[in-house]
Amino acid sequence: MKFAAIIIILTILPPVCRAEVLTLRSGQETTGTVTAFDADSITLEDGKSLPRQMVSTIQFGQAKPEQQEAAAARPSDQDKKAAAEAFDMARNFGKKYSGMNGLVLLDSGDYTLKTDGAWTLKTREIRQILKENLKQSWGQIIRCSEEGRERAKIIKANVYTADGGIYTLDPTRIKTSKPQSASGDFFVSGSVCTQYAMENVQVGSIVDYEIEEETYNPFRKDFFFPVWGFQDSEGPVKVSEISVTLPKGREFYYSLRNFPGKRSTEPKITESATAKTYAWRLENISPLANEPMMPSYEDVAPYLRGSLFKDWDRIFDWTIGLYNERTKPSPELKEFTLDLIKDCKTDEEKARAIYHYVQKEIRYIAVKVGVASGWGGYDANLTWKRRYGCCVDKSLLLTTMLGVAGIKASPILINTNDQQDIDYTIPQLGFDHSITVAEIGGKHVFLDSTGYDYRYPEIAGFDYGVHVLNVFNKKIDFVPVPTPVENGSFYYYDIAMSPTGSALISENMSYSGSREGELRDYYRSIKGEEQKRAFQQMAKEVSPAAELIDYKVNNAENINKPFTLATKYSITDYAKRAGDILIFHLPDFEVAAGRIKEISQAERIYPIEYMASLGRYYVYSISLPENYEVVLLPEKLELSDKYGSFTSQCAKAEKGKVVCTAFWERGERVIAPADYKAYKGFLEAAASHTKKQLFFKDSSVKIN
Amino acid sequence: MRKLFIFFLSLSTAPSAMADILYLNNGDEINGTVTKLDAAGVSIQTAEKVQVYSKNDILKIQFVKEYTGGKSDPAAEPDIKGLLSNLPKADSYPNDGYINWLTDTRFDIHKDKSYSVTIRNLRSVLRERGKSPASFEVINYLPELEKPEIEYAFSITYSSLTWLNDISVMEGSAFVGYPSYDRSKTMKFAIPNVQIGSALDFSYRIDTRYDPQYPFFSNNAFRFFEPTQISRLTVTVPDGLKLVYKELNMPDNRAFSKKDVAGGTSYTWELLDMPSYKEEPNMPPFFRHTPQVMLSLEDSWAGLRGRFEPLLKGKIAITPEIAAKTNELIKDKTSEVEKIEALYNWVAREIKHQPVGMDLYSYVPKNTGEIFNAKAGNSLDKPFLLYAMLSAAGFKPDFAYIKTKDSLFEASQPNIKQFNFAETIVEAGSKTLFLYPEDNYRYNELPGYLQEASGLRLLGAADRPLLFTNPLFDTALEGTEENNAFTLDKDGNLSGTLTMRLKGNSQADWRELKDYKKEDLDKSMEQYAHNLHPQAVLKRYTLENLSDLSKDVNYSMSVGIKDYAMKAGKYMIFKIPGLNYSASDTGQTERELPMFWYSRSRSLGTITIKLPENFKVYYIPKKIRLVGAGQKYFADYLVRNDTLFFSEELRRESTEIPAADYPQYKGFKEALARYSENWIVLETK
Repeated sequence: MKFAAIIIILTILPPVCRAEVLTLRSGQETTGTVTAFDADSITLEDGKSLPRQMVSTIQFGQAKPEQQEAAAARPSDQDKKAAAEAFDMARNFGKKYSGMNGLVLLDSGDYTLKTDGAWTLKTREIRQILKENLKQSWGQIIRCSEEGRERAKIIKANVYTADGGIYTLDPTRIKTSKPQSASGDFFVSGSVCTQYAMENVQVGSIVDYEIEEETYNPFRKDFFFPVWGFQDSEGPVKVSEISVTLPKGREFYYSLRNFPGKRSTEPKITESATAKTYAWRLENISPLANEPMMPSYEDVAPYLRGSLFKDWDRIFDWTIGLYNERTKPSPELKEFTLDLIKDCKTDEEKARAIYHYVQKEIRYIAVKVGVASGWGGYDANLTWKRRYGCCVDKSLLLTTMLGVAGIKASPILINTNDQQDIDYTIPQLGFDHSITVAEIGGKHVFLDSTGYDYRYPEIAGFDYGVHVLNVFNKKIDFVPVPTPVENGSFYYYDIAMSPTGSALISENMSYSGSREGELRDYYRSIKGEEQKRAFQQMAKEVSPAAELIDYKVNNAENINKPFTLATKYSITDYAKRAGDILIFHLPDFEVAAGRIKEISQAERIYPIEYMASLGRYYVYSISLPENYEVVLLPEKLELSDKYGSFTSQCAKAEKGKVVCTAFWERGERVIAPADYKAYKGFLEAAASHTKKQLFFKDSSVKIN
Repeated sequence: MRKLFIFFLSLSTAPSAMADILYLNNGDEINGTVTKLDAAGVSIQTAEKVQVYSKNDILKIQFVKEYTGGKSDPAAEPDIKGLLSNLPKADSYPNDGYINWLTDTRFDIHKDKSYSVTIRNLRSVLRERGKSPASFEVINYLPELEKPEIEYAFSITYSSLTWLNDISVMEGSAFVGYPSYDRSKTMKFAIPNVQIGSALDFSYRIDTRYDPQYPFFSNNAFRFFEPTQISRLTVTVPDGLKLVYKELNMPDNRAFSKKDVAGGTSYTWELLDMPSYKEEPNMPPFFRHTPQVMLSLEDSWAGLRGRFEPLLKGKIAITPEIAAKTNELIKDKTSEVEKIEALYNWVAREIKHQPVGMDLYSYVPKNTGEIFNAKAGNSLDKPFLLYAMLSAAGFKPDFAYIKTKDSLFEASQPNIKQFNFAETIVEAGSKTLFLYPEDNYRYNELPGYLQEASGLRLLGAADRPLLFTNPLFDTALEGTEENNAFTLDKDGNLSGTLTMRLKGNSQADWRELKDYKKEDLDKSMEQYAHNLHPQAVLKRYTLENLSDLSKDVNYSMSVGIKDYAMKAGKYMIFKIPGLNYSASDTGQTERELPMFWYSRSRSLGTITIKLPENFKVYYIPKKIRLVGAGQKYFADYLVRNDTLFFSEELRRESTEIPAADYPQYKGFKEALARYSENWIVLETK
């Protein structure tokens, strides 16, 4: 009681304070109501005047963080009881699991939507840290909010240590910080992070914290999309529960994925006079395993998504509104576009010219300062003038220019295939990329103008095989996975062996699909001298005795033409001698085990997700000198399974010539766990075959 | 082409892309010029009309500033005019993305030791890949001490001038994820309207107030990964202060001048026509090889210690909790080494590392009580707590600041800002232990970046040398030792056990696995075994002491590999499992820069393979002994009683190989890789 008396409770401000906050260019902030404003100065109600040049922003209606107690409270009896209960729970629950990084004892969330569209999410987490690496990620609280719309408040943050220590929240150590965007191409501003590092977090400690996040100024009152994941990758979850409370009369739609076993996805529903609550709870959930090339969290973990509306119309209407505004070409952009395509005779030629222009001439920079620029992008005319933009901006400019050319096009919202599959049974805004679709020559063509290296109509591999939002056409569309030959690598080798076992190897390489763009990107991004070093290194990987003679990189900077590579190198003593036997391998053919790590496990829980289909096509033409006698060539192999095929054969052609060919194809992007064993067997057999050698006898060598 | 040029000319007179931005509560953003703001609302002039919004509908107004620096016609200025009239051609620079036409760094040191640095870069874009890096800049600063300001930035493409504005300028913290060390900020910007052939010019200034704990120091490079036409450094020092400078790796043709200016002295260095660096395998860290000038104000190491020693001592608080923990950790230990190890292990493991360098936080550590309570510390604070605990345990340790091997140490520049790490040094019997408490290293190991690193003793006995160099550990303390035993059956299937003992930096790499939960570790080990061969199957494994810093990590696994050996008629061929040396780092015929590694290494291996009864050895490779460029390799095959014995030892004794010795290294690696390509051939009896 005495201790409680010294806690100073400061004034609790209302959630929204209407005074304006002026941020000066010096970084200082001042608060007041602006009463007058002209080209030179800004005057506040207290008569203070500031030169306009000094002011960077004026924030209206910014919520002030509620101030809290000035010192840490002494542990209460309730804290002591909570600590004892948490350790009891951890002991009992932990017995069932060994080797875990941590235990999630309670993972609880409570969404509450208010009648004015504002909403809160209260979360409570009780977690035991069992390994050092979790002290950082579980031992601190970082919550970032958009200034003027959201706020985060830490209500409780206790640490219970194994030796009986209890360390309560010290509000004086709660900090805020505005983050810098990590990538050089990203300028995403407008958020502020609330930070708290819990003290005395050790292995064995239990952290017990409660946070309230509030969206008090939503940009759309009906955009309320609660989400909840019930599983953790660091350890098992004892209880994960989520509730969503809405004002009575509001409809609520939801989707639940990956619920384990026969556990019901039906919520427990309770009602009061003013509200209706939907609640889900899962107990004793095993941790998420980590497998190579596994799908993303939401595709494999139990997951809830909710919405106030059932279909996608409102999302379509909102994005159409934004994108329509931003895809109206100015006279200058019209004139420029028509000039750009003036020599093009077909729609395909026009689309190619525009697609290549937007890729090459508009640099990728993402400037996101609010909802409209974040989701809606910038006006196509502005992007064109700035010569930079993000994926949305580039997609809008491409759509606009295609429109000028008379080609019907639409921006597309997409979640790339390295992210979760969008669950289209429930509306949401979980997209990470934007591309374009156009109707060209009677074809439905997807174009991704974000990169710099994709020859029309190629797109990046991460766009393949996902359902997307076709905005202007108000439909869910699908980006197909190309056939193996449409996304292939084609290798042609001429190998001339000398009587002494040396080899002269000429190699030509060409590509299709995203593979061509990926390689063009790599070779365009490095220096000429570094290209040469890359070829020198490739030759050395064929044999340590290899010496590069020549190489060519064709059209790295020109996306109008196919990207191809060629190289020539010599290798002394390429064929390995074992007495009079010469042992010879096909260059670049072996699939090292490290390249198929996705099949390294005896069993898999989750699907394998590749980015794209695969096509590899090899032709080796080997010229042999007279003293070479073919002893043994690898036997012909034809393998196939549900997902792909592998064919390889070597045969004597005309005199002194051996020709080997191999084709490896996979048409699918995702391998289901049920098919894993068969697929693993197929890949292992194919990879083992690539280790096979060619055996010759050197008739000029006499063995005693 | 002509039409395109006319188009760009027209752009220069088109309305600017710059505008104020009104952010509305409904998410809309209105671009225009704010013309009126009062109690009634806000008026904004857009391209089409004046729009008026109630304050209740507005979230924020952003006033967008263009960074013109008061320039009205920059194209008329001599430097830019010179560049524009003679724009470099891509063909003349086949390797490069852009050219630094001028890099001009100017320091102005003031009488109170505060200083300003103004950095100007004038560039021209040669290729597409040069667009982004040429137009992008990041400025790091400590807000309490330093104030950055962009003076101007623009691009000129053909005749179109575009100024940088606030839209692509951003300030923020890079360390939000480390609240206790979230102090430094970055400002970054990207200049708009950049194309191939664009000329870019920007200048920014950082004013730094004097703080004796954050004194003037700068290390200035003159050659980069893009070419530079003129690289210039100017320092103006007022009378009464003395500049100490050191040129490192500077070529003989550098120009240097020193002249009197009003109230002081001005020093200028200039280098012309510096080509770009190209990536080479195992190239040294940038500041070990680039031409550079190191700058500081006159001081002495003793003076520096004199100022910092009391500051550091003031931060040492042996709180009751620290004392109790220290006593608890050493109470059952009898020898000095055991006590030191126990304290080291606790700090290494229990104090979580915060990866924020002292240059980005503070050169003075936090109070030891604060570090202890937070159970968190950076590369200065962790060793500082260890120093305090060792002292509390009765030892007489030294505490030193260290400059990692990533850059060159210069003894003639007494300045705290030369250092970026810290360590505690303690004598235990005849041993001197250099302790950097990192949770993957044992007490008697040291990360490679700290080996051979230079240090300054700031606490401890005054009779020891202030400056010292950390040891470079012997190969016996680094590397791996493998003992593998296999059986090959008549069908070519291989099975057996691999065991490995680890030391030093190799051991530290394996300890990273301690962060995996059991299930994930199992899967990783399956993957590790599978790397041997596409058909390899892990049968079982043990991985001991990953989290126990008091013991070495031991690893063993049993594997089976179906069809490991290939059959060809009466022959069966195979290679030693796991023996696969590459020469891919020796593709170049010659090198410009030395080859560099942080530490020495050694790998020892003995392998036995029990051969199938119905086969005899037809061919085994001869033994080999290779020596060259600080590397040694020995290997031998032997067959006895139907068992093949293979033994090898590979040592890297040098951590830096001069470019002149590269041919020796190349010869060594090629011979080594070729040796590992050899087949063992069996023949049916």
